[in-house]
Amino acid sequence: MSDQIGTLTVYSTRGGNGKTITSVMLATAAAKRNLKTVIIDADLEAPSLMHLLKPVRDGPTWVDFLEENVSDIRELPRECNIPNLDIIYSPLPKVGKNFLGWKTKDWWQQSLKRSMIAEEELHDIGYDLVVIDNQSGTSLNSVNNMVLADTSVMVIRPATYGVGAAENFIGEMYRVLRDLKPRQDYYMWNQVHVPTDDHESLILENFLNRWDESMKLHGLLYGGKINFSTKLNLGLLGETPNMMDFFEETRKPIDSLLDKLLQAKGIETS
Amino acid sequence: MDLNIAEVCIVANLQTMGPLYVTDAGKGFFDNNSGMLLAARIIITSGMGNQASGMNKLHGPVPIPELELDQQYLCYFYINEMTQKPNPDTPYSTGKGTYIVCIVIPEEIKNDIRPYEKQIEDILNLEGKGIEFSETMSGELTTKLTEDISVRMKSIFEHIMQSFDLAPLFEATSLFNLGLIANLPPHISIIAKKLILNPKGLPERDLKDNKVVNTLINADLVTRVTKDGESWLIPR
Ligand SMILES: Nc1ncnc2c1ncn2[C@@H]1O[C@H](COP(=O)(O)OP(=O)(O)O)[C@@H](O)[C@H]1O
Ligand SMILES: [Mg+2]
Repeated sequence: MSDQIGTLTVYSTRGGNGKTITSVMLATAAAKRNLKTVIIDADLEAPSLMHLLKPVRDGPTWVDFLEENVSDIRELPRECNIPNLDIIYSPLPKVGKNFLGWKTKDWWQQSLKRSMIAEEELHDIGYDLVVIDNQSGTSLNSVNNMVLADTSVMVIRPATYGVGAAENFIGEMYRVLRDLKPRQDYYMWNQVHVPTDDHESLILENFLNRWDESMKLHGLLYGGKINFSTKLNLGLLGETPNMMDFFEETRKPIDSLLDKLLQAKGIETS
Repeated sequence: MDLNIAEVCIVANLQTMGPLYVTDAGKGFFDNNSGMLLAARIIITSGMGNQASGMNKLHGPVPIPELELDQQYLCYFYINEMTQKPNPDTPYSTGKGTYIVCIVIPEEIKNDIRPYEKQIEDILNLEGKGIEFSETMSGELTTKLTEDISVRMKSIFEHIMQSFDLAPLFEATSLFNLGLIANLPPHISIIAKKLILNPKGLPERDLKDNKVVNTLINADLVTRVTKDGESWLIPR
């Protein structure tokens, strides 16, 4: 099938919230629905896909493209063991060389231009869905990737300090982004502990309600909730985790998020 | 007289028809411009409105007393005759009436406009030089001249305001700068957004606003190229 769905980025205000897991699961769910999908590992600070979805062959990376060592976008996607899913990798940052630190603002502006062209071309060469596993925080890189995407999912963990830190700046960032082009921005709870009694239920419910309200005020749409999964958590400790093993763990919320995204685009799949 | 308030002034030296002097307030009084000021028959000043005084006053950037403005201003043109006392110690003083024309920058935007002084100076210089003062050589300030000056001043004021809006553009190195896009006046940002959403460029005819397009080209943020005989604009 070749319905163009667009470009989605998974974002969070801090690391460890679950961007990568959400990106991979969402991309896998889309691939399973016969959507030709590519994930870009755009977290240049902490790239993870080299480890989680080990490349089957060598090839140029997203950084090579941004650095203008490669100009043909077709050289970037590499297949993996999940049908319909390709990966554009990023290399682990070189020790002692802070890739992000020595790039100037001008460089990042040109990098936005290059990435926007790449995004367009990935769709031109047949990808229905481009998923960008973003860097967390407010770096120029993460904001650039937010600009590329027409849909974003902010992954948040229920922790007061986590969401609180986010709130101050998300309003402004999303306002600027929405002013640029039509887009849909979701937020998704992740690593939510399943309460064991009424008391815990109440604490959690109050917390989530409070932040749901606040996210709504900033124009973010509710994307759903992924519970904490011990299987997923421990499973990722291994040297060669098989991502497909964890798909069932997050399947329900991920499928429902994908339904929402597709519905918003007026696309039906099963 | 508080010399710190008014920031920019033009001084037209009518006797020599020499250059316009643009200086800032602190300098106007005692540096070598002051001779010119004293010799001048018309002083054109552009200053910052000072509402802090409680009265609408423009404090002179030049050796003139505070000018009292008789209305709330957004853009205010004031032509007034004042008598410059002869100063026997200088070769410049004429003792004749000196006319003062003011552009007043409103109080509310005073702070915003400060960082762009240089650009404003350039505009004042450029525009101010076009003023034809020959009529005043007779010493008469005719109605026609008054009107001419007023029209000129309006145009200078509009230039200042536009340049003020555009200043961030000329400081930027690329259109792919969200901070820039978010701070542009709407008629420019609408075009700028269209351009950055088309990183490979757009045919020029898709963008209706020639004036904005030219501004973007002048600011080095857009390149014009010809593809298949058609003019294209590519964001930088
Ligand atoms: N739903 C979940 N349940 C349990 N652990 C999770 C869950 N989501 C993420 N994790 C844990 O959090 C860690 C960080 O997740 P990751 O997706 O790499 O975050 P990010 O990409 O935002 O830095 C993972 O190693 C995983 O162990
Ligand atoms: Mg990650």
